[in-house]
Amino acid sequence: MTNEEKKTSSEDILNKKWDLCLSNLLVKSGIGLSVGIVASALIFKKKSWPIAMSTGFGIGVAYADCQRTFNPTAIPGVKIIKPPPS
Amino acid sequence: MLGAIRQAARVRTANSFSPNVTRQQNFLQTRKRIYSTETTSKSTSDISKAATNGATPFKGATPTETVKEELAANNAVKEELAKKKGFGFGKFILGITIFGGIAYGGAVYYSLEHEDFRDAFVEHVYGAEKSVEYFEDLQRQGTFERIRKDVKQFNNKAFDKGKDVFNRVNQIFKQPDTVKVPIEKIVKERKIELPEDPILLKLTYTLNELIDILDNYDVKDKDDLIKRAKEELRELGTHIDLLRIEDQARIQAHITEQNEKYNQLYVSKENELKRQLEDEKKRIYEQHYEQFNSELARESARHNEELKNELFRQSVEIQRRWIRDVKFMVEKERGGRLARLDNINHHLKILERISVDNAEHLDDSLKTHRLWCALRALQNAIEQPDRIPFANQIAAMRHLSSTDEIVTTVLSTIDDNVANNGVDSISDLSARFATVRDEVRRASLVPENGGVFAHLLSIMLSKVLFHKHGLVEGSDVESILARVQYHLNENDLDTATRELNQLKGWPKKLAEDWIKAARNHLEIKQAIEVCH
Repeated sequence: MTNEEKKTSSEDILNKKWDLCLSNLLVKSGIGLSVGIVASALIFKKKSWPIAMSTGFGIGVAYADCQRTFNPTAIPGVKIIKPPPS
Repeated sequence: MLGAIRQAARVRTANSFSPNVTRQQNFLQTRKRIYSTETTSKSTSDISKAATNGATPFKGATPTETVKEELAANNAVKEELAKKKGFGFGKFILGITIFGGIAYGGAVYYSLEHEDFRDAFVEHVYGAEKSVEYFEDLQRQGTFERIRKDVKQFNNKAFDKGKDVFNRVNQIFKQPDTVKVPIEKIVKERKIELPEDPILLKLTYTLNELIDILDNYDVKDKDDLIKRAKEELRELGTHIDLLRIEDQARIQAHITEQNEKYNQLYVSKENELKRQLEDEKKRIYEQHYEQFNSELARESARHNEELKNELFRQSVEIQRRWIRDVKFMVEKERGGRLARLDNINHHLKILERISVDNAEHLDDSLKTHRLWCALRALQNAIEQPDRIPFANQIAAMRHLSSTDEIVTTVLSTIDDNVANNGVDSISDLSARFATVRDEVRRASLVPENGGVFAHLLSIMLSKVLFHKHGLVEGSDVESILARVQYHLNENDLDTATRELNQLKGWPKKLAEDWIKAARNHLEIKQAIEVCH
């Protein structure tokens, strides 16, 4: 049943997107946290704010990705104008 | 007008006549003659003459007196003339007037007759037109004709009267002369009676004349002479009579003799002629008889010949007819047999056709039976609660229904993919709809270009929403879902699919697969129904 793996049924699309978003959030926030810890320990003399900032970056990227998955046409700075209904 | 003048003249003449009557009463005849002449010459009498006539005879009883009177009258006239010229002038005027009237009347009359004159007259003379027209009217009404007729009648009457008078006068004068002569003659002729014989009659006349002469001349013994003459005449008469009798007798004898002779001649001639006639008759009869005989013989011969010919012809014709009839009969017989054969052939063909049809029908029924079986199998496969691929059944049907166009077209519409995968049953679909419904409900509040937070909000708020049930109205997502659920519960997939197809945006996207599956199911079902 290779066919079924490839194709998701329509009612599961949103769930898939949510899954992707969550995993993205976990991964990117984890990367941000780890980068922040290394940077605070090595460069910023064991201060806490670099850890929070890099985690925030990770979350932000994850959010942007998620946003793009839900609405791929909503690119910042670009506005799609619908043609007036004829 | 002219008639009136004439009448006046007549009256005047009658007046003037009365003294004459007194004067000449003795002479009736002459008076009559004068009267007749007067009447005939009435028309010519003049007015002036009449006047003078009227003036003069009145007073004259004796000539001397009349002369004296005349003289006195003349003197008086002269005196009057001397005294007044007015009377003369009046006369002149009267004359001119009369003349003018006559001229005018004449002109009018002439204009009635001639067109040219009338034109000129009407043009140049005053009042002419009216008078001419008046006279024309009169003419048209026939007044002139009547007057003319009257005048003519009157003239004729007068003329007749005159004639009558004249005749009467003539008679009175003539009667004595005409009567005298015949009487004397009659008296004289009595002397000798008239004999019958014309010669004697002549002689008698002569003798009579002689007697007359003798009467006139005084001769003595005339009576004796006359008597002798008479006797002699009588003797002569008797002699003549005798002679005549004798002559008559002789003539009679001659006549009888002649008569006899001719009678004999006549008889002999008659006999001869009779004989001749007989001979002639006989001869003619014989001749005719011979001729008739020969004619008869010839005629009979000819008739026989004709009869023979006719017979021959008829025999030939009858033969021909017989031949024809026989031919016709034979043809008919043959035709009948052939027709029977044809009929049998036809029946045979029909039988063949029927058998072929029967075979075809059997074939068809077999085929349809098979098809029916396949259809049943297909239906079975579809109605199974599980998803079973029915490609085999479809292939079998395709094979069986190669002749049926409708079935093939219907089968061609079925997707191979669907056939291979099978379709979801209604129970499957309703089970799947439960999940679909939850998903759709979760996404029901997402705006069209909603982002992550919109989705999050929708999921959170959908938990709080009231769930609708049954056949509810409204175009919002929740009521649509309720209706679909209701139709599915009623086992009406078609309407449910239609309802769900009304969704928009994310809900539509979510429900798309389910709609597709339901459509496939419906399509197959419809195909099976059509195949039925």
